[in-house]
Amino acid sequence: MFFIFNKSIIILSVYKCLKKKYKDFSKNLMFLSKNLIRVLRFPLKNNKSDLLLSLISIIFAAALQMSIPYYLGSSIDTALNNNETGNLSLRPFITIGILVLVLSIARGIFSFFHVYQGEKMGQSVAFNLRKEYFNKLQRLSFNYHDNVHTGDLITKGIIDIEGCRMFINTGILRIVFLSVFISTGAILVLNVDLFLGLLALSFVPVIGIISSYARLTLRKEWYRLQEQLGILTRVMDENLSGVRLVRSFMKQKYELEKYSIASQVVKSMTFRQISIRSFSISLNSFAFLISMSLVVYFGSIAVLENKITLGELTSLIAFMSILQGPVRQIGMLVNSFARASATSARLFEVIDKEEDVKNIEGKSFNEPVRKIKVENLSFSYGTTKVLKDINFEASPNHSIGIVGPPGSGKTTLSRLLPRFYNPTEGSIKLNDINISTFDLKDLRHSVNLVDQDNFLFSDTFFENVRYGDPAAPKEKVNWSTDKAQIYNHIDTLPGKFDTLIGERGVQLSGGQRQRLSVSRTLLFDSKVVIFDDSTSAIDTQTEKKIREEMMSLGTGITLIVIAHRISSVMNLDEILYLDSGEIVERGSHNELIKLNGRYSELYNMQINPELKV
Amino acid sequence: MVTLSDEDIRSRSFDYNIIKRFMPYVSKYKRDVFIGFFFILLLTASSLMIPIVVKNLIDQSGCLVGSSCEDIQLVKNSILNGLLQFLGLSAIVSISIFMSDSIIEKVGENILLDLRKKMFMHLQDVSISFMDKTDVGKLMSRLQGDVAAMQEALQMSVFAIGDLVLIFGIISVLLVMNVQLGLLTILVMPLMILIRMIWLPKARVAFLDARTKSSETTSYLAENINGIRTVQSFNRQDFNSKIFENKANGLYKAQLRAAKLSSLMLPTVETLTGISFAIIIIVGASLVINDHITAGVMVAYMLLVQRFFDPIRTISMQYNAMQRAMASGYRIFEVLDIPVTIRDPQKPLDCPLDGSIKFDNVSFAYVDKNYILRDFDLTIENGERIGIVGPTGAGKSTISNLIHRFYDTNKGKVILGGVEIRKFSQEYIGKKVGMVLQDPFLFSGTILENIKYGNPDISLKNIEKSTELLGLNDFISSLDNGYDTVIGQRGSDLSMGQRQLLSILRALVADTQYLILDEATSSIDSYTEKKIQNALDILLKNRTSITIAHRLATVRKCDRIIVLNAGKIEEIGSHDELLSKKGLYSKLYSLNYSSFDD
Repeated sequence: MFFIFNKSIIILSVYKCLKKKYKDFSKNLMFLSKNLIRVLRFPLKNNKSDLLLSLISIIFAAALQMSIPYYLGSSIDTALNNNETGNLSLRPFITIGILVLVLSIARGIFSFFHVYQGEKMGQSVAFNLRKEYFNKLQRLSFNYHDNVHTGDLITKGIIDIEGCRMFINTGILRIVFLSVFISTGAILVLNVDLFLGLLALSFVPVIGIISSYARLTLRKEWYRLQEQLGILTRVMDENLSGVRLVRSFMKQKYELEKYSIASQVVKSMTFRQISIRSFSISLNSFAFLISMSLVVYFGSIAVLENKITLGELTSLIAFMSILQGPVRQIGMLVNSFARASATSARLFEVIDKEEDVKNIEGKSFNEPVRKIKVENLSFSYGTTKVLKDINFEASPNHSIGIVGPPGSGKTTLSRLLPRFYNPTEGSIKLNDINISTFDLKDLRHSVNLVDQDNFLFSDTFFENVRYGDPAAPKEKVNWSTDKAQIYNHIDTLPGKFDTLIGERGVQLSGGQRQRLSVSRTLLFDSKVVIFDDSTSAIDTQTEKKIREEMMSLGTGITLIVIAHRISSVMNLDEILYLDSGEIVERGSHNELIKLNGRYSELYNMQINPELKV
Repeated sequence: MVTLSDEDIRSRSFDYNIIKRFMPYVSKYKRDVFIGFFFILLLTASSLMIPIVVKNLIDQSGCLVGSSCEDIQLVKNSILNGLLQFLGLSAIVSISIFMSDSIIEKVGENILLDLRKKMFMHLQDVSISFMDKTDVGKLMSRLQGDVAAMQEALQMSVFAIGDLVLIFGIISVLLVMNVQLGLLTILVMPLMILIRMIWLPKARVAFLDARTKSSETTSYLAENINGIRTVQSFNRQDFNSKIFENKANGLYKAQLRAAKLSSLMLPTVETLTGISFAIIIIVGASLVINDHITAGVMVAYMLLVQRFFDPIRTISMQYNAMQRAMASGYRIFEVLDIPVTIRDPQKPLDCPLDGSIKFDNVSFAYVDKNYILRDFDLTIENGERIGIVGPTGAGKSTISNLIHRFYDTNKGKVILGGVEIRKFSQEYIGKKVGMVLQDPFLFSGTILENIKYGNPDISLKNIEKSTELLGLNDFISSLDNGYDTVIGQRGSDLSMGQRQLLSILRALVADTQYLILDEATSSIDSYTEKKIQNALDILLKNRTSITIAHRLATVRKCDRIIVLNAGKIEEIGSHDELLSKKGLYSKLYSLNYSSFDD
């Protein structure tokens, strides 16, 4: 009694275990990950006719190819038969020969369409992914870009998209081809002889199991490898970008070691991957060859016992021989699936990222700015509070200057005004309307920031100046460079405005770069212009001249100037002294001097540096 | 000056010079390559054996060999024998596949890593002026894309050699089994060669075009990621997306043209296979009927011809890869050929230094005869604090570059602590001369890792001391995890001023005998700067220092201030001396200009 009970428990647990195994296994057999299905949606949506054409070509190409072994076999049978009967006529062979030739040509044409259409779909997927990826990156807010490494983003845009493209052409379509191929072949071989046919197909499930295990392992490996490659990229990128720092500390040895470690990890991962891949490929071939050898063996016996003809056996063998190449490719297919699962996951991670600053298709804003008002504004990066309860108002006849120590929140404030970040608390209003209700484009057209980091594109002076208005005529470019006091310099260059900037062109000094970016902003016709320490390398006289030119435009520009140089802000209507995210002093230059506080100390220090802190 | 060439204009698929230079990297793995080849040959041979085994089995099963048919058991035995042969061959094939694939791929990976490491190491030594001029993105694409292209081509060519062996193997087996049928079957070969000759020039253009478009698209993507803040400031998202779409579309079309050309190989190869089949069927059958060959031979022919065209099918792919690899190889060796101008001496000195710096009749030009410094003399005593001011292009940074031996002088000597600088190893100079650069570069990692960069062994206590002196305590403790806070990409979540403060701290922690501050406080307000100056009063004691600035206030406290103009010392002296000299310095000072700018 007890014994039976015990036994049943064992059976039950074995059953449970098996069931769980089966569940895991069936889950593993799930061919496509969520992301891969998403990749597949592109051709389903955009290339319906290509997909159809390619599927039809696949079916025909596979079926035609499978029909060839049949005729090869029948030619053998006929030849043997005629050999016995002494019939020397070549007519039937000419017929079969021409038929095989025609079939081959037809198959070639269908293969062309199958491969070309497949490539087309793959390229089209790459095109669409590229587009989506680029669009997303252009729109993701500063918050996102502050926290990711540009090298990683570039790598994703190249390598990961390539992974998805390969998946369409050499991955999924090859699978369809192989399935059609094997199923047509199955009909053929099962028709010849049930037993031999089953033997001929016996490798299919074995390869299926090997491949799905390999795919799962490889997918994990690919994901990890891709991450590790990102780290390696970062090490190299930082080393090259920070070359002066590395050299100044003479840390080349240390950097090489850092590189070697990162590189070593990549190497061992790649090696593992290669082993897994090669092993599964060779295992696949082994399974296939065993089943082929059994077919040949039992087939020969069957021919000997006159159960099938020699021609039929030839068809079977020819069928298997055709499969030899594709079976080796299955390993590659599996790899392509695994790689695409990993790369598509990484891509969609970016594409699906929510933009922190969302463009509500809001009110358009085209009117002149009467005033810009900052009310109870606070801002935090994560848990760090950067700005606390900031209030001020600026207008065309009330310009604002901001000074303060590093980390006091000046740059953050300057980036909140064009809504590059959303305020944590409080609001910013343009003509009394909250800026978050405006269309982002209009807002940023009205409120322009001349950033500390004055990025110039590797293009001509002309295109850089009219970056904000790519249709601007030459006169306007002349005008704005003249106002920014850089026209004369550009005019002396051999290529004038068509001179390239950057690596292949001229190198600019800090002041020249700054004046160029001021001219870029002038041409943009913004109503509120924020200078974030962006005139520091321009001498005081020139800076003053630029400022005067701007104010005399008569278009009602509101100025907000962040600077370390007192002379840059002393003539503005109101000056805010920012410290640790708070306005600690405010007023006109004279008022603040009278106050005799931090500002006046700063002023005295610059005018009369003998003073002690 | 050395510059890197633009995108690839080269389209050759075989360049002897590049292959010759590539060989040493391969020969390092001679043994593995040899083993890999061995298994490829084994794989080829055993693959060729299989149709022969099949032929024997078929001939026996059809009782076509002699009279053995009378004894069924005997035939069955020899068929069993055939099965064993087949199984043995299967095992050999599978093992060869595993061995050749994994060995060759691993060799490829090893070579890739060697090549990349060589480039990376080389870039650590090439001149700073080259690095300044060269876009990092471009170097990265050479370190990654081009190296990967070489690797791919290498693996492919190894397998292509295997394919070539296979083709010749098949031809010989075909000819051995029956000369007449064999010759007729390979009749299609010259046809194939002819077609390829017509195809090649067209394919070359198409492949090249696709690659050029691809690199254009990539560099546009990269630039817009780098300049994202400007893009958003000027509302260029839609406009740029359109430009990008155009580029991506051009790439798409170019890729399709290339794809069309390579796919055209398929119907060609299939037609040729069809012709061979037809020949085997018609001629083979007549030979079988006339008892010249057995049916087994005919079957073997059919199996072999199918394998025959497999390698030819992949040729278009291989061609593209080879072409790309040659262009890549050119670009890789271009990087490796950048001359290294500064080298350590054979037996570098490492004697203690007396703290002085001397420029002895130094002339220096970055480009040709465009001298920045000419017959420049300067002596700095041990422990002195020197300030250098002057307009852009006066040669301020050049002086600091020469002290650090980023460049060698064209004429004259730089003498550090009484010894000519070229007698030291560069590493030694790095240990003696600290530098704070205008661009406060930070690595990704924690604040602490960055501070310790120049002196990894320093204790936290000592770091805390310097932090306190510089007044950075509040800043560090305001961060989420203090010293262990992980900073974003190159410190992008810190302000420029904060980064400059950290980079001053980093240089002080490195604790060097000499310290050069090159525009180290340009993004720091005067108030904070003053605090730092006070800290430096203590920290620079017993060190020789040079402060380069365009703000006069930054150098005011120095023992001697040099007013540099067009590579010449215009004035030299303490602040008070310079004021009483009534020269350029005092003029600027009284005009309240407070800086030399632009």
